[in-house]
Amino acid sequence: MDIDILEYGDSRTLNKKRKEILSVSRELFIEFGIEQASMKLIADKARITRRSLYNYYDSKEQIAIDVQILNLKDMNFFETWGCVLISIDLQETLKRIPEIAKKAMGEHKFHYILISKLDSHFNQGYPDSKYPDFLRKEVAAAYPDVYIDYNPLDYRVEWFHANLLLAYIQRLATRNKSASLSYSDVQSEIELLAKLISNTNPTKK
Amino acid sequence: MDTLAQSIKKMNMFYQIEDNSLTRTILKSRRKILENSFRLFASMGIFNTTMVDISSSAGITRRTLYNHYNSKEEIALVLHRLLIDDLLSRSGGEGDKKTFAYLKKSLKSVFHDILMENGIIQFLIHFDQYARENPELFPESELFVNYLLKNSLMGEYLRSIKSQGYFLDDTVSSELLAKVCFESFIAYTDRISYRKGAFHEEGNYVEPDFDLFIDTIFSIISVGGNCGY
Repeated sequence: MDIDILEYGDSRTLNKKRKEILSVSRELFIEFGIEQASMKLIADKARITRRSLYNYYDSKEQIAIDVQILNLKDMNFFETWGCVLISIDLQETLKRIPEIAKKAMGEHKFHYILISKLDSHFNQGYPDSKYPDFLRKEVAAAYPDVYIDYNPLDYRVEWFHANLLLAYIQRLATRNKSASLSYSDVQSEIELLAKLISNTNPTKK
Repeated sequence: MDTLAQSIKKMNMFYQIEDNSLTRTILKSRRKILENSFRLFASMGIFNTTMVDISSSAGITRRTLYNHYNSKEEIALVLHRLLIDDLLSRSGGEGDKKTFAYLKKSLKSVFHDILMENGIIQFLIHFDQYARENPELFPESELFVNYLLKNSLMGEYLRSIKSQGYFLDDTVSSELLAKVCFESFIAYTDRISYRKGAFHEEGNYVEPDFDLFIDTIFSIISVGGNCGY
């Protein structure tokens, strides 16, 4: 896990400790959700005092944003979903959807679960503009040739199918958590959904 | 816009606790318990709500609360059933029930109510997550998608449409289409309802397009909207 993209400019010792804080927080958020993971719990798990934890972060919300930024980077979220979020090539993504779904139920399961946990915790807004700014920057970087005015808030008609697809995949990870499904259990659902979207979403430039 | 508490006062579902053996006083306290639980579940989630929270917000003792319900899970289950039954009962309204147009209209009405009325989508999502994380406490048949599959007429309608040869692709089963419809709906609304709040300050939120949702789900059916079945 490379935390340089968070741009804190820590010394090596600080950097190492910050890494550890983020890594134990990630585990706690996935297991208990962000609500239940207190600053005290995080400090205990990272084996530092609460006072020392506050030298790095003012709140668990700020930790959660950093954890999420690393999470999205780690799963190459923007390479997979960036195009979908700005709807430039849904057909290409539809072709890859079995592969994406398999990953969501396998190696990326906890990545998607973490996205859901973060969404649900921040349903009243983010503490500052760090995260929305990060999203815009990444989408723009993934598609430098396309003019992008990506607004995560926007549910205009042209982004409907993209959001539907991402939502369905995201949910697979949560469904899988309790019911221990395998890809073959949901294959027919995924194929049907891809077909329905393909029927109604003509290829775009 | 009404506060959550005001909206709950107007909700029909709390008047549907049907049990003739109960006295009016008991019904009245149950209504109070259910209304307050719904408000707490919708705003804080089921995990974060305790029986103590429920009894104190309903203004009763814990002992009295336990006379009515054994656990918050029992209350959540009752609420989930009342809510979905109520949504299904008021969907569609007048019209010829044997048309494709009526099916679309009913579905749109259910989805619209879920998303637009205060607290409903929040409750449903919290319930769905909590029930999935605690499978030992909730029968699988009570989960949102399974409950709708069992209690709405979707499956029946789609079977009938398919049997008349209106499916463009005959390999698609009507049960699967109904399942994908409800799974898509809860997945999509889950995603956008959170985003709706998160980016609220930015101000230019656009309401989702239910027609497009329904057109997408039914794009496998080859009728112009007038097929009787």
